[in-house]
Amino acid sequence: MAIASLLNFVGAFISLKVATTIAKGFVDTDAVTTTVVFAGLVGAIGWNVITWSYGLPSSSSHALIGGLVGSVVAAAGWSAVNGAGIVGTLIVPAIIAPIVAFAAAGGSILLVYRIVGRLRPGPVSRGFRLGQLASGGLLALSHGTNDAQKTMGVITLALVAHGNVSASNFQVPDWVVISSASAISLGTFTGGWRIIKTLGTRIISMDPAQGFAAQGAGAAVILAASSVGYPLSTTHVISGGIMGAGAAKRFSAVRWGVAGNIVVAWVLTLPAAAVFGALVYALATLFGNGVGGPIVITLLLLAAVATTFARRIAQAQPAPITS
Amino acid sequence: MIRAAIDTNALLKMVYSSILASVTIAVVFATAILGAIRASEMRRAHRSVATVAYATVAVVGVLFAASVVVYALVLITRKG
Repeated sequence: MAIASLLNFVGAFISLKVATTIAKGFVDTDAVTTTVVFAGLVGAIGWNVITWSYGLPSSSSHALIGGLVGSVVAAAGWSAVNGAGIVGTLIVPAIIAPIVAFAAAGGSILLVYRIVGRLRPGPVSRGFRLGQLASGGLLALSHGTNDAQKTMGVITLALVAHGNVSASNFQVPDWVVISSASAISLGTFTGGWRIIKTLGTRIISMDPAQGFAAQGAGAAVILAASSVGYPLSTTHVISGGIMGAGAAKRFSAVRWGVAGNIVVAWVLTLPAAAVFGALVYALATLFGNGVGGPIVITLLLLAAVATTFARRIAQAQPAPITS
Repeated sequence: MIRAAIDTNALLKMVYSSILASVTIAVVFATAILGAIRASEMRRAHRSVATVAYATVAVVGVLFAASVVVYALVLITRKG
C-alpha cells in the first residue's frame, strides 16, 4: 500500500492535460464563481455518500464533473456548459475506455494462457505474482496521472474564479500539483485496501495471470487517456479489465450482477450529481452571494458527519450487563 | 454535433496504443516466464545449451517488457 501511494504521488506529476480539460473543457470559466465550485464539490460528495451507503460502486470523477456542471447550470444557465466538450472528452471516452480495457485484458489473457498453458501452474503463478508487483505499481502510477489531476483542475478552477489564476494564460500552480498529489497518495494509503478488496474479490476471483492482464490493461488505458487529456473513471476502467480477464477464461465466472450494478451507478452518477450540485447552489444562494451560504452548508455538513459518527460509536458500544 | 465534438484521432490513439501496449507486455512477460521455467527444467536435466537459451529468453523478455513501460512513460511525460 505504501508503494502504491508513493506511485500515486509520482503519477500526479507526469502530465497536466487532464487538469486542463477539467478546468477549461466543460464549463465557461467566466460563469464559475467560488460558490459554484463549492456547490459542485458538495453535490459530488453528497451523491458519493449516498452511493457508498447503498454499496453502489460509483465514480467520484464523474460525480465531481456532474456536480460542477449542475451548479454552473443553476448559476448561469445551460449556455455556460460546453456540451460538445462533455460529450467528446467525457462521455464518449467514458463509454469506450472500459470496453477497450475489457478487450485488452481478455485478449492478453487468452494469449498468455496459450503461451504458459502447458507449464506447471505453481511456477507460472509465482511468476505472475512477481509481475503483478510491477503491473499493480503501474496501475497506481496511472491512477495518480488521471485522478489527482481532476482535483488539480477543480482547485485551479476555484483559483480562476477567485482571480488568482488567469483564465486566458491558464497554468496549474505547483502548490496545487503537490497538494493534490499528496491528497490522493494519502487517500490510497489510508483507505485504498477497501477498493482493492471490492475489485479483487467481488467481480471475480482471479488467478495471478488474470490479475496481471487486468492491471496491465487498466494501466495502459488510463495512461493513454491521460496523455490525450481524457478524465476517465479509473474504477470503471479497471472493472472493465477485470471482467475482460475473467470472461476470457470463463464467461460465467464473472458476477454479472455486480457488473450490472456498476453500470447502473455509472449511468446515474453524472445526472444525479448535477442535480445535487444545482440544489446545493440554490440553497447556498438563499443566504446571499457571499460566503454566508457556503458557511451555513459547511456547518450543516459537519453536523451531519458528527451525528453519523456519534451513531456509529453508539452502535459499536456493547450492551450494558444487567443482572 | 456529436461527431464534431469527438476528437477521433485522440480517441483512436487511446484505443490502439492501450491495446497494443497491454497485449505486448502480457505476451512478452508470459514468454519470459516460459523461458525461466524451461531454463530451470533444462538445468535440472543438465542440458546447458538449452538452459542458457531459455534463460536468455527470460532475461530479454523481462528487459523488453520493462523498456516498453519506460518508453510509454517517457512519451507521456514529453507530451504532458
